[in-house]
This record gives sequence, C-alpha cells and structure tokens, in this order.
Amino acid sequence: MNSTALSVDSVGHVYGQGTVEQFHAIGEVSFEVDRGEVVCIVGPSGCGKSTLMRIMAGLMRPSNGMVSLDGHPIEGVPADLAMVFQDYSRSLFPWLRVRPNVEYPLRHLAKAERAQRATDALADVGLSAHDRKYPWELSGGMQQRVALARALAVQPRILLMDEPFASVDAQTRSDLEDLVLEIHAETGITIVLVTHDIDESVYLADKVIALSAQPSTVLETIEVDLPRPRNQLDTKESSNFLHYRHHAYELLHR
Amino acid sequence: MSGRLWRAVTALGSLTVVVIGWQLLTVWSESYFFPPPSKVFPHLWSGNGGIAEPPYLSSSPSDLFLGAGFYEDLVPSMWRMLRGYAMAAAVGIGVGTALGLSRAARQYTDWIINFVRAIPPPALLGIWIVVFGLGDGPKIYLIAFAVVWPILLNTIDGVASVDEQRMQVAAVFKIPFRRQLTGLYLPSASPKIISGMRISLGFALIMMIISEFAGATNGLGFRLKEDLSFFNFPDLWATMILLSAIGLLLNGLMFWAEARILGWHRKASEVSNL
Ligand SMILES: Nc1ncnc2c1ncn2[C@@H]1O[C@H](COP(=O)(O)OP(=O)(O)OP(=O)(O)O)[C@@H](O)[C@H]1O
Ligand SMILES: [Mg+2]
Repeated sequence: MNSTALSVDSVGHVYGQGTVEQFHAIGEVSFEVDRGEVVCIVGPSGCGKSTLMRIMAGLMRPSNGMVSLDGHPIEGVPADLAMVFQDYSRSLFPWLRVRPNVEYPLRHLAKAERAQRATDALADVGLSAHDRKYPWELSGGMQQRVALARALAVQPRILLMDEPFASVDAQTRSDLEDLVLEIHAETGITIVLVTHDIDESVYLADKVIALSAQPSTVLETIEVDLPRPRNQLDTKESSNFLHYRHHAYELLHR
Repeated sequence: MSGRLWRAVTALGSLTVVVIGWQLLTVWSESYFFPPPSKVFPHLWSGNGGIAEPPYLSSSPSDLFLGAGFYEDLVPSMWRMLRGYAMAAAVGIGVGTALGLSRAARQYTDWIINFVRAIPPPALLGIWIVVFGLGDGPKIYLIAFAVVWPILLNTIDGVASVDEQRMQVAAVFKIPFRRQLTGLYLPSASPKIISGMRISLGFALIMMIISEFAGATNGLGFRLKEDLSFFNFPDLWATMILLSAIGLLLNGLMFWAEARILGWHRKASEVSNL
C-alpha cells in the first residue's frame, strides 16, 4: 500500500530565466507523497507553493529537476488528477450556474451519471441548495466549496489543493477540514494541500513539508504520527498535536 | 415598471416637442430644402405625384400597411446589410478567435490588419464595382469589409485575454480543445465580441447607404441619391426618418440580444470586476 505516488525530485524554478526580471522562486525541493497519504505544504507567502502545485499538476515544467507520478515522469496533466486553485474568483466560470460549473469536466459521462455526481459532490460540500445560483452570487468561501465539489466530482485518485480554505470563516473552515478527512478516509485518495495555517497542516497531514522563503528549499519534512480518525477537539488538544505544532511553528518562524 | 412608463412618456413628450419645433421652424423659414414635417410624413404613405418614389407604407390593411417602397427598396437594402453584417460577424469571430489563440499569429498579422483597416471603405466602392460587377455582391462585400474590424479586433482582444487560471482549470480537467473554445474562450470573450458587434451594426447601416450610391437600381441609398438629383426633398426626408427608425430598431434588438446573452456579465460586473 505504501508505494510512492508522487515524487518531487530536486525541483527548482526560475521565472523569466535569462531576462532582467528573472526571479528565482524555487531553490531545490525534494519530497515524496505516498499513495493514500495527505501531505501539507507550508511556507511563507511568495515562496513558490503555487508554482510547485502547477508543476506537480503538469501545467508547467520546472527549470530543474522533475516530478513523477507512479514512477512515470509527468508530462502534461496526468489522468485521475484534480486541482482546487488558490484564486477562487478566477477559478469558476461566471457564465455558468453552480451545477453546470461542477458538471463542466464531466461531459464524457452519460447525463444521468453526470447529474448524480454533481448532486453528490454538492451535497458533500453542503451546497445542494445553491446549485441554481451563479458563482458571483455566492460568498468567497462558498465559491471555493464549489471548486472543491468540481474537483471531487471527477473522482480523482490524486487531489491537489492550493490554499483551499484561506478565505473561509473559521467555522466553515473546520467543517471543510473534516470533510477532507472524511473523503480521504472513504476513498483513500492522495491529497496534497498547500496552507498558511500550521494548525491546519498538522491536523490534516500525514506529512508536513515546511518550505523556506524563496528561493525555497525544504526546511524539514515532519512525519505527523497522530491517530486517525481525527477530530477537531481530541486531536487538537492532544499533547502530540501540540508538540508537532510547536515544532513546525519554531521551524517557520526562525 | 412605472420607471419604464415614465421614461416612455418623457421620450414621447420630447419627441412631440421636437416635431412641433421642426414644423414651426420650417413653416416659418419656407426653405425648399427643409420641408415641414406635415409635408414629409405623408410621403411615407404616398408619393408626391410626378417623379414620386413608391411609398414605404400603405393605408390598406390588406397590404399589411406596407407599400411598394417597402418591398422594392427597404427590403433589398436590409437584406444586403444583413448579409454583409453576417459575413463580417462570421469572418470577424472566426479569424479573431484564431488570432486570439496564437500570440505568434497576432504578431505576424498585427501590422497587416492595421494597414488594411486604415483604408476608408467608401474609397473601395468604385474598384469593387469594377471587380465584382454590379448587383448585390460588391455592396455586401463592401459592408462586410467596412464593419468587420470592430468585431475582429474585439474578438482577438477578448480571446487573447482569457484568464490564465481559467485556462489552467480547463487543462487540469482535460477539457478537449473544441469544448474549451465553446465553453471557455467564446463565453469569456463574449462581452467584447458583442460590444464589437454593436459598434459594427451602426456602421453597417451607414455602409449600406453608401454602397447604394453607385451601381444600384434600388435600395434606400439609391433613393436618397435619386431624390437629391431630382430635388425631391420631401421624399428624401421621409427616407431619412425611416433610416432613423431602422437605426433605433436595430439598437433595440441589439440591446435585447445583449441582455439575453450577457445577463451574467452585467450582474457579475456589479459585484466584482471579473
Ligand atoms: N508567472 C510568473 N512570472 C514571474 N514571477 C512569478 C510568476 N508567478 C509567480 N511568480 C513569482 O514567484 C514567486 C512564487 O510565487 P507563488 O505564487 O508560487 O508563491 P506562493 O508560495 O504560492 O505565494 P502565496 O502564499 O502568496 O500564494 C512569487 O514571488 C511571485 O512573484
Ligand atoms: Mg500561492
């Protein structure tokens, strides 16, 4: 079971290589994500987390190093991969209502199947009642949940999420964290999630990758050995949780 | 609703004032070139004897109140304009999308477009009659040539400025190219495309008239030219009024279409800038 799904091997990235505005975003980053694992990436703003996500999704090539999925180097977006983008306002299609937005990637499926998947995904993120609204009629957090539903509806084996809950209120946020854990427990999906929030990263992850400021390197890969299923009260009050949190905090605020 | 009613009342009111003012001024000045509306309006229904043009309207319900001028001049004119406009829209959106998708193609064609666009279309009328002959062809091509630019340029701009992250969304979800075109690029560019089409529509009306100034044997532009050469000013002004009514109607149609197609855009722009 514990075979490597995603392997990030000495990845570095320079934007605008050879130009005056050349910018060294990622120094050298290596880590591995095992199949069925939840991995959280934390690091200061601008350290190249979104860049790394785009590279892992096969949307762009890194300047150095490579990423492979199930042992094959990634060239183009792999099958069975879905992604929730950081900027929710530019993620959904404003000319489509919520349900067609969720169904948009499902066109290859029969109509009934498509509708069923959208219904289920919208129910999962608690937006069943809003499926006839337009995205811009929803709050930021709700839009991000639609984007999550859209990603879930394709039933990916690997899910990349770029700060999915950054603009969600605290209560919805913990609900969504638990939703991610639930989905993970049910489907065994591999999840890579970027966050600014150390608590969130420890609460969700099997492994926390702490990145330095740009050009970023891996400060440390923290193996989080907390029992699952986790819950907001017991897990977050456990001494082990506090220990990991303390450690990650020190690492990132050094 | 009462707001709309009020707008209609005020518009009607000011229209009445303008027509009365026009009547008073022209009756007072007794200018031959500016006949009073009381003389002009009847020419929409009936010719003025002698060298009269067939009237656009009729008083007979069995003719649906439409006169011979409607079929012999108005319809051929509108049909030319429609075909020219449709051709411009097809070419503008088609070519514009292709250029919008490719930065390299844009760089190569940019100066050509600007060069060709700089030709004032009426300057081509004579040549085109020589090349394409009389008949509807040269007129339609002239209209299409003249009005294609706003549609083309706006389509290029709209397609080229599709949001980067939305393109990544389409890539991540492996949307086939054709569905990206219909599901992402065109809807995303539609506000700009439609604003180009609105500009072009008004322009098409102008070009329709100009194209009929030479090598035509019917049409509204032909009639204007004939009326002028025969000093038939009441008929001339009647056609002018008709043209203005057509312009209003087309604008209304465009407004309606825009509200239907771009409802999402107007409302979304109110809450955020997309
Ligand atoms: N297309 C680009 N061209 C040039 N520089 C870029 C580009 N995209 C990002 N950068 C720069 O690279 C750095 C890393 O960007 P990235 O978006 O990956 O950071 P991030 O870690 O996701 O930040 P945040 O936490 O604020 O989302 C930033 O300093 C950014 O300015
Ligand atoms: Mg980011």
